[in-house]
Amino acid sequence: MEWFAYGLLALIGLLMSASAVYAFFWAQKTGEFRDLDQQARSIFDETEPEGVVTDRFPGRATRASARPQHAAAASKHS
Amino acid sequence: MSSAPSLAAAIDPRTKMPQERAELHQIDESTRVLALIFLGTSAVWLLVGTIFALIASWKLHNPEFLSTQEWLTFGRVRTAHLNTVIYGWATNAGIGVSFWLMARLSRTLLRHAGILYVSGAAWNLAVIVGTFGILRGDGQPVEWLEFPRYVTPLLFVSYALIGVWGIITFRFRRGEHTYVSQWYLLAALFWFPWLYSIAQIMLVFAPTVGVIQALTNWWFAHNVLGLWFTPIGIAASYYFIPKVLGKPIHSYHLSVVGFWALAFFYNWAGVHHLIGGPIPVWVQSAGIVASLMMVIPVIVTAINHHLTVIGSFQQVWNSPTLRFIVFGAMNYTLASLLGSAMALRSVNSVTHFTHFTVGHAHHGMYSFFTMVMFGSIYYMLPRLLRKEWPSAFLINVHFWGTAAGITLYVVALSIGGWIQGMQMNDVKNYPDFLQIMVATKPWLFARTIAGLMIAVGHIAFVVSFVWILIKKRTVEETSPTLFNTPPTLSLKTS
Repeated sequence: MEWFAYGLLALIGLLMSASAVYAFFWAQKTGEFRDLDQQARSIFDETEPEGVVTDRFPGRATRASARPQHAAAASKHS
Repeated sequence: MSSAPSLAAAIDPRTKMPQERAELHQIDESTRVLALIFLGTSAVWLLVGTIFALIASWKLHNPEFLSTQEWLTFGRVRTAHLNTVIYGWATNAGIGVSFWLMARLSRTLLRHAGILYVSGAAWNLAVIVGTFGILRGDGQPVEWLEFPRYVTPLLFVSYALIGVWGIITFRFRRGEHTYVSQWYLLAALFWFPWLYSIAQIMLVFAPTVGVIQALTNWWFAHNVLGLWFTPIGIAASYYFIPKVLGKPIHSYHLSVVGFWALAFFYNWAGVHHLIGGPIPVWVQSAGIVASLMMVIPVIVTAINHHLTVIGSFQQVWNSPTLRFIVFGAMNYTLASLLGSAMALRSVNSVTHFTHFTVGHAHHGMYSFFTMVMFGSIYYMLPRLLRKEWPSAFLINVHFWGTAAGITLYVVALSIGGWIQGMQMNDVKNYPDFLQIMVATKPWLFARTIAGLMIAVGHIAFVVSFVWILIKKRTVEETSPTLFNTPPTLSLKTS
């Protein structure tokens, strides 16, 4: 009885491993690994486009808005 | 979004996916109640866990403190701390953040969340009963699984529902691409029920004997960190760092490599808790190799997190979210590399059975995971409630209290633990064992001070949390945090 239980658990473990391998090949087949540079931008959209900072300390809007440009210029030079 | 599929249709694999792409504010609205349930309860558990932590920490240098009541003895209070912060704070916060992220990245509304409300309530009920059980003395003698056996089935069922619902939300995705955070979230939601059920069966309901027990225990305990909390933390940082800065991550190719490396290597790493123990040496060696293989996903993640941030430190500093998340990401790199080093036999022979390990556990769970969760909550709540955070001062107190506190904590215990390990290994001039223990007291006292600093930060956080919940929404809120003012805002304020 004990060995039956462990056999079952081992089987589940194998299925879990198999599911990871399956997911990997599924991703390969459905093109998840293609055109990755574009995919990295999928978190931006029309309402929150690339280049817009979306979080600041409350009440610091005016001070903060001057700074990103400065920082962006600095990063361009580096 | 009128053609929402029914509950049965949502589960049926033949159902066709809805074609519309939901707007971000619609998605936020659909997850609001769920996120508030999980994040609200997590904040309460955070305070409860902190109180247990402070009592336990004080007892280590003043053992007579509160020692007359058996339910407040060290063994129970420390265990109650572990289980409330893991299953109460970290898991609740992780679920709240995961669902919000999953719905947003899948560009779909969260559907039939009623089941999640019930399972959320059941989960928290189980954690309450389990904590009382531990304090009563019903705890299981298995590290990380101390909840008494009468609550664990309820925990498992409620979690399994939550996991399934995350995967169903993913099924209704409308994005063209599975973003790397979604991979991490899916993996976490899918793996945790497996880990928990196997560990319960093999340790509590049909216990194995001998070394298999120890192996199963550490396989579970380490994988909870590596296959449940870590993926959620990394998923959140892979979303928030580029999202807040408004620039894509440094190398998306590497992020994909990082995910698959974690998926394939992590599972074996837990054995490094048993190095030098009476288990087969080849198993230990395999665990050490797996722990060192983890350097690959860690370096990859580090490159992405840090090179994305470089050049934008000013924005990081100006964003409550990123202050916490970048702090967490930096500590993920540090804690993981240290963890791999600790798996080496020569290092392990010093650090094992010392406070160094305790410091390392908090480095991973707090400096990395908890800080990332704080950052995520600072981003989510204003969008869920459509209100601005009430006080920048409280956020600052929270950040400095927790960041300085946990840094002091980890540094103190690492130094103290290392000294302790060197003294215990010094067999030639072996002092009285009691002397070695007494020598750790200053470091343990430093830990209590660190704990108090962290507690101040937590109080500031909970005050902020309650304040933003009850404060009135003003129409003229200029919303620096709330960048995307939804069109319905003016109609709904009153």
